Amino acid sequence: MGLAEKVTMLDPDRRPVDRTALSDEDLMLRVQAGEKSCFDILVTRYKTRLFNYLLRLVSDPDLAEELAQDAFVRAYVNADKYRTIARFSTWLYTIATNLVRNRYRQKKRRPPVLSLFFSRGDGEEEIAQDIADDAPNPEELAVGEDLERLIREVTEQIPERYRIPFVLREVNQLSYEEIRAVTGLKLGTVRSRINRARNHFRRLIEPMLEDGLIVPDNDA
Amino acid sequence: MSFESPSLNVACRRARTWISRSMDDDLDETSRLRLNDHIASCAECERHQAVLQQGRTLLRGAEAEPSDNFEWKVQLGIQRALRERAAVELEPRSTGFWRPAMSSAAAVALLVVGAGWFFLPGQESTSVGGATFADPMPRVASTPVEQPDLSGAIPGTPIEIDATGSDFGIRTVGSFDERFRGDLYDPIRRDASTPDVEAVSELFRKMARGTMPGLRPVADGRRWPAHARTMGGTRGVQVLNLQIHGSKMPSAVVDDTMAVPETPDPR
Repeated sequence: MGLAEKVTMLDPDRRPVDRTALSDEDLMLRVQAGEKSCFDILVTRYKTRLFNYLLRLVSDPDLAEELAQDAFVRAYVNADKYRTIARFSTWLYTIATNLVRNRYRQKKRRPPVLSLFFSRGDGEEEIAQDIADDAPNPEELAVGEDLERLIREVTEQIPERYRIPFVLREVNQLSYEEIRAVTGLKLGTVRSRINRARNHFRRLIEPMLEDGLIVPDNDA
Repeated sequence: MSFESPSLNVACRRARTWISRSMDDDLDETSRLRLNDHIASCAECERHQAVLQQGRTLLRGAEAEPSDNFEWKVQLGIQRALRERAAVELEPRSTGFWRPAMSSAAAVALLVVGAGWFFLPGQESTSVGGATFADPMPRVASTPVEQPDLSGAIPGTPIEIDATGSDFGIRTVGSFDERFRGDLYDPIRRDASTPDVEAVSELFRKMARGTMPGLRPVADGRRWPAHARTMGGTRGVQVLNLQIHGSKMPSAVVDDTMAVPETPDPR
């Protein structure tokens, strides 16, 4: 069946269709049928959500954006593999999550080489070197500091294996079932990892709340 | 390593699990009642619940925006991926002794194509509009035009490059200036999937009339596929790259813009 016939099947009445009102899944059907512009709508619809998801996972805005773009590219190039039995959002998050996991693996394979000592140059003695602590400290976290960055730095300290389900739940508000589909974990594991991540998160965020460094906007 | 206090008793550990599940509406009624009883008598678990709720509010409220040219980069990536896929599919299948050598040659060719993609300005012609989303690219630039050096540019000062002899249609470099923000960016960014053709046309008319003194078109008199997009600049300077094609624009507009003589220097 040609592309024109496929598109005609999607528009049997041949009436103008407001593409922006279509569901994600309908848009993907049209992308598969050759309506490439429908993918633009999906990108616009999901770019901020996907970017924020990845930002919480990798803590580097440039890398998060690169991964988000890569996820969209892969979704488009592999659009023919998409099946409407899965929600588009779940499929997109799965692609993005796999990209992040690959990054994590690469990072582990290439651990940074850092000497705890430096030589004075006379070949005799090595002196202990202070290692910078990247964690936010109260001096850095001045009032008015960028909330988004603070949250990012806090989230970064949650262990990676807990971070993915946690962010999918807390930031992207996916259901347990959707998180299971994205991560490939068992439902019980999803629950327990989110619970563990919350315990980590609580320990990290509580001092900041107590010190008034960050104030939640309850209207948000 | 658990972040829970080792001194946490069994009741509190169970309550923490229930708190987590209650936040996700995943707790049965019996457990919810027992959790409420526990929290009523345990200040630490009550605090735990409150902090988690506040944390959730913070997490959901602290949203960052991707860069303005996000869509354009996605489309550029798609074009590149499709080209690479096409190159792989076109690669002749060989066996035996020649296979590794041919694979290496294909890899080198891809690298060369990839490098050309990035470094030849004429290749940056992915459309913002959905209509030309995955269209094949136009020709490879035969005469590469050097990217303007914007490092020392002063915001508000017009910069111009001559596209004559290149494979550009109209390439205009405008300074980032608040005066032009609406005129330059809104028509294109109002809806990245469907650039406002009329607004872009009007922008070209203004440029043609010289009524935008900070911006001057440089036309080489040829017509190239339709594009309207912005490029990231440096140090507060933004680069605008607009190209027009007759099939996407009313012909009068094309004539109006493409046949524009050099506008007088406004300075």
